[in-house]
Amino acid sequence: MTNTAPAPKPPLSRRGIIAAALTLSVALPLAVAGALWALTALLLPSLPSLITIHWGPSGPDGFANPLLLPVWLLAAVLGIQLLIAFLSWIGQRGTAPQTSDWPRMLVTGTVMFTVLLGLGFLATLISQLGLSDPRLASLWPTLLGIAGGILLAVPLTLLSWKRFPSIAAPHAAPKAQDLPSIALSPTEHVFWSRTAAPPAWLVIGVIGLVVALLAGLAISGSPFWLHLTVGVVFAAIFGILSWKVTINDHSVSVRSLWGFPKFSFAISSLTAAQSTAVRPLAEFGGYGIRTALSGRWGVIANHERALELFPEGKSAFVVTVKDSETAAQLINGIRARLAHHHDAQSDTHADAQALQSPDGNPSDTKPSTAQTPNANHSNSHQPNPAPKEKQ
Amino acid sequence: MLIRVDPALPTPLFEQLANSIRQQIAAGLLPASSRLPSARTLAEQLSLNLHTALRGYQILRDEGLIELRPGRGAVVTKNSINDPALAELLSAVALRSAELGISENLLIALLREARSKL
Repeated sequence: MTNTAPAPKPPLSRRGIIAAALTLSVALPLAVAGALWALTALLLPSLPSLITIHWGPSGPDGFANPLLLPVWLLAAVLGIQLLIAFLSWIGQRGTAPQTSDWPRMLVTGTVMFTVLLGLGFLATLISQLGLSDPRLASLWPTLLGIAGGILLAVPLTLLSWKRFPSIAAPHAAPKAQDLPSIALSPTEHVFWSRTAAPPAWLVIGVIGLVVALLAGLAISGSPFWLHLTVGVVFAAIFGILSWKVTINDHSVSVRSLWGFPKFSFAISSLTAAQSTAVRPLAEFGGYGIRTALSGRWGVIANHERALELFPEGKSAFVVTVKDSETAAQLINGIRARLAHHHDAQSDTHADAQALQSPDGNPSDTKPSTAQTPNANHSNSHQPNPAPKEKQ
Repeated sequence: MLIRVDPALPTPLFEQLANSIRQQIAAGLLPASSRLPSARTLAEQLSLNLHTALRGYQILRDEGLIELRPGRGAVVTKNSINDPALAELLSAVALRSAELGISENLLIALLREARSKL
């Protein structure tokens, strides 16, 4: 019943993806640099022996042999690639499941910077054709080339990010029946609520920053609207430091102190929930509303374990909140109850007694393992059995 | 904070609400000065009548467990349930009564009896 078809697997193996990423990351810059070099060599007779490659406030102030441009392109792209490798390595330290998507990062970064630099250098080169003195070179064609490079690089970057296959272990939703859940009676109403509060040092840090900024503004005699802007910006930041997480019979909602932004999930749309460890800096790169390279996203307020929700067919959502274990068990319990209810309604042989509420104190919050939807409850001694509507 | 109320149970809803919160205060899950949701929020979220929610809160206020402030909602008061001597006695009572096979309800009745003799 809860069996969902797995998403079609990409045809490339993990090794294949890594090989493709490495090949592309070497071949693309080499090809572009090679083409640039060939073009430069071809145009060399009509170029000044040194071309302008840097402009200062008073005009051109840096010159170089035009044949060096492709070499710089290679060096710059290599630098970016090393940076990406380093950041991926930092993000990956100590995690058991492969969450880093470094081949995809590497390809995307390579595409972005190769296109950007390639076009910038091309414009610089072309614009100085026929110049007798490089000091006459104008900055505008280079800027235009960079602007064109950005225009071209943005869609290409997005495209390569979207199309290049991922090696990150697909963050598969665990099977709901394997996770602990709180057994709920069909008539029971539940409500769970907690504040995901920021660590004290973060609050103190932000307050300190505001005070320092406002003091600085006051000393420099800045206009009032600037103070106001700083105030408003920090009020907004303050609002998203602290979050309220609530769960009721139907939905999970996570909203900031100001009520906006707000993320809501219908429990019927979730396949499971669990309590999970997150590393704010290594995995999400900070606090606030964050997306990790592993594909999961959500609200990172502190270093607590996170409540992780698995919306059907979408990326996992996390929110760091105390007692996420209870929250996850409750959601799984509500889910099981919804599934149970659904089964009972669609099954014409459903017995009304199967849905009878278990006896016991409703405030007993001890978790139990998930009830299998078809388990037959023994007839309990409820004086007031839950009425069940027959279709 | 987890609250569970079941209209199918014979216990009145306001009592279930109070029990639910009391249990969590007793378990140390809601320490002093914890803010509880407003009665209105509770009523909305748990599909209860506002008066039912208010009545649940009033029970807890009368027991001195929470303070109700207009506009600010409910706040858990400072209480002495963390008294170590009491905790020690309680675990001894729990252990002995379990050994004797005394039910929870009977234990509560015994406790009431003992308190009434004070």
